[in-house]
Amino acid sequence: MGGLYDFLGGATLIVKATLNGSFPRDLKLAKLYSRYYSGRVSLDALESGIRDHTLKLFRMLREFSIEVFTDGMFRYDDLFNPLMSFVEGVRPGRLTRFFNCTFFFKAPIIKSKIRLRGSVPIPDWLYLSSFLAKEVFGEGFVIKQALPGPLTLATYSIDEHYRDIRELIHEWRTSVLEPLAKMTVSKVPGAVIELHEPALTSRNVSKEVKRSGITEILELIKSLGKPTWVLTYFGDLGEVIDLVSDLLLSDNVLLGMDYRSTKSPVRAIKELGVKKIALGMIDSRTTVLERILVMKAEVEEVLDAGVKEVYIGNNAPLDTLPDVIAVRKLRRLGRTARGFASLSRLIG
Amino acid sequence: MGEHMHIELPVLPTTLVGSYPKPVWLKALSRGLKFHENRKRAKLLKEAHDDAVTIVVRELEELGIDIPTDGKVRRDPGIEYFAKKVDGFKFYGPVRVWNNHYTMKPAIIDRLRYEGPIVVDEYLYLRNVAKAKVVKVTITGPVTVADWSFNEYYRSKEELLFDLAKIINAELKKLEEAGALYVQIDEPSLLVRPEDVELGVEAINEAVRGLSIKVGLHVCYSNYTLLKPYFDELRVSQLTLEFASRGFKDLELLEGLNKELGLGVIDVHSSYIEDQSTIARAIRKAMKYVKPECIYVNPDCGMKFLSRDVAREKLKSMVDGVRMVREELGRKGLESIEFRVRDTCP
Repeated sequence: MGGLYDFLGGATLIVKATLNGSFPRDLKLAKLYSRYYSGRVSLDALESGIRDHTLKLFRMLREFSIEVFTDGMFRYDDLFNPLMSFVEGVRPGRLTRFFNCTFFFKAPIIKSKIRLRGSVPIPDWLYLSSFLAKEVFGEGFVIKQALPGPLTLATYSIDEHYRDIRELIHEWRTSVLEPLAKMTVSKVPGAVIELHEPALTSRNVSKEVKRSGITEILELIKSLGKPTWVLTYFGDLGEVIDLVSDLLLSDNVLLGMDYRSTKSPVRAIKELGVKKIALGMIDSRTTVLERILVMKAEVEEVLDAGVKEVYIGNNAPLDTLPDVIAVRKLRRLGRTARGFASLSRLIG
Repeated sequence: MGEHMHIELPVLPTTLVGSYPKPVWLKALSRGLKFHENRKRAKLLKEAHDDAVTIVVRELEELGIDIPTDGKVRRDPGIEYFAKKVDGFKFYGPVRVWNNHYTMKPAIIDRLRYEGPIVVDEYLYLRNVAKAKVVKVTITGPVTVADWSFNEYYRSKEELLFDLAKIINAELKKLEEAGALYVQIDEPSLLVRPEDVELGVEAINEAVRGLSIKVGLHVCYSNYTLLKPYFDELRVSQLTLEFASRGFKDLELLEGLNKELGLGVIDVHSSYIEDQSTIARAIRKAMKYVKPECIYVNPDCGMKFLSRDVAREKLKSMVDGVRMVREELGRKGLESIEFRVRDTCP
C-alpha cells in the first residue's frame, strides 16, 4: 500500500482509475442478507458471502487495473446505513430519495444528542477488506473507507433535537465522524477516508450552510492529519468555486468533481488551481457507456490545465446501475487510465 | 372530459391506491415456476394470478371497500409490466432501489411505440370478478416511466415524455372502449425535479386527451406546494395524495382545489394499525378544505410492502373511520354522491 501520496518531485503525472463509493450489491448477496435477517442462515454464512463477493470485486478491479478503491460497500444499505445504527440519538425515518436517483434510504431522525456507540464494527470491516485486497493485489493498492460527510449527513437528517443545522453539522463531525475516521485509519493505517459530500454542490443547500460544512470538513481533515477525499456529485462544482476553494486551504484534501454534471469542468479546475483531483467521469445515472477516446481526451485537457495527479472514477455510487453495466463502465475506466500508465511526462 | 354517468356511490367512497400484499403462495409459486418451459409457465402463472386477483377482490369487498383494484398482484415492482409491452425498451438486469429491494429498471434504446394493450386484460378480469359498480385500474404516468428508465435514445426529455403520453393515451382509450370507468395515473416522480413539473403536467394532459372516463392522478411523498399551481391546469378528475405519513400536514394546500381529492389516511410504511377515530379526524380535517362530496378515502400509496394481516387490519380501520364520518354526514342529509368524470368538483 502507499506511494500515491509520495512527493511527486515535480516531474511525474499520475492518472489512476478509482472505484468511489458502492458497487451494485449482487442479487445473490441481497438474498443472503434477506435470509440472514429472517433467521434462515447464520452470521457465518453471511460473512462468507460478503467475503466471496468482495474478493470477486477485487479480482475484477485488478483485471481492470483499478488500484484505488473502496470495498464496494457490500455491507451498506446506502451511504448512511448501517452507520446510523451505531449512533445514539438517531432512529431510522421514512424512505427518502437519494437526490434525483431512483434509489432510496431511510433518513436519520435526530431524537436526542448524537454520539457514536461504544463498539462500531466499521474499522474491523475495512480491516477485513484490506486483508482480502492484499490477497488479490499484494502491494500497490489504496483502499478507501467511504463515509457521508457532515454537511450531507445534516442535510439529510430530520432534526427533532438540535433545531440548528450548523450545530447539527458540528455534532456529526465531532461526535460521530471524527472518532470513527480516527478509529478506521488507526486500524488500517494505509486507508484513506472518502467523504461523500454531494450536498456541497446541491442547489437546495444555502451558501451559509455550505460554508459551515466546509469549516467542519476542514477541521475533520486537520484532526485526522491524513490525505482525505471529499467527493461532490450531482451538481456543478463550477457554481461553488468560491466556497470549495476554501477546502483547498488544506494540502490533505483531494477534491472530487462530478465531471458529467459540471458544465465547464476544465475552466473550473483552472479557477481552483488544483494540482490533484478526482474526476467522476463515468456516469452512474445512465446506462450509456462512456467512450474511452473521449475520456482520454478529457484527461489530457485536465493535465494540460496543470493538474499533476488525476483519479478518474464513477461520479457517484454505482448502486443505481445494473451490475452488468457497472462492470462495463469500470472496464472502460481502467482502459482509459492504462492509456496513461506509461506516461511519465516531464513538466514545467 | 364528458359528463357524469349517473352512478351513485356512498359519500366518501373507499378505494385502494393500487397494490395489496400478494398472497404468500403466489410468491412461492412464481419462484417454483421458473424451471418450467416458457409457455407452460405463462399459462400456470396466469391461472395463479387470476386466482390471486379473485381472492384479493373478495377480501376487499368483505372489508367494505367500495371501489376495488386487483391489488396489482400480476405486476412486479416498478415499471417492468409497462416496459415489457411497449416496443423500444431493453432490460440489462435488476437495479437496487433500497436495502435488498430491486426492480427491473429498463433502458430506452429505440423510439417507444405502442404495440397493443398493456393493462386492458387486467381490467377485464377485475371487472369480471368484482361485484362493485365501479372498479379502478392503474397505469404509470409518463413522468414516472421516464424517471424509472435509463434513456439511451431520446435527445430531449420533452420528446420522451410526449411519446410516452401518446402511448398511455392509446392505452387509456383502449380501457375506455373495454368499459373501464375509473383509471388512475400513478406519478410518484412528478414533483421530483421542480424545473420539470410544468412539462410533466403537459404530458399528463396529453395522456388524458379525449377521454370521457374518470381519471385520478396519484402523487406521493413529494412537496405538494409544487403541485398547487397546476390544480386548475391538470385535466384529471381527482388528485390522490398521501397525507397519513406526513401527519396530515399540508392539507391546507388543498384550499381552492377544484377537483376531487383521494385522501390518503393509511401510512403504508408502518405496521402500526391506525385508530378509526384518528382516520375520522383526518377526514374531518380534510373537509375544512374540500367538500365531502368531493372526497374519496384511500391508503397513502400501494400496500404491497405490508404483511397481509396488517394491510387487512389497516383497511378495516379505514372503513370504520369512514363510517363514523358518514353517519355524521347522513344526519345532514348527505348519504351518497354521483360518480363524476369531470375534471372539476363540485
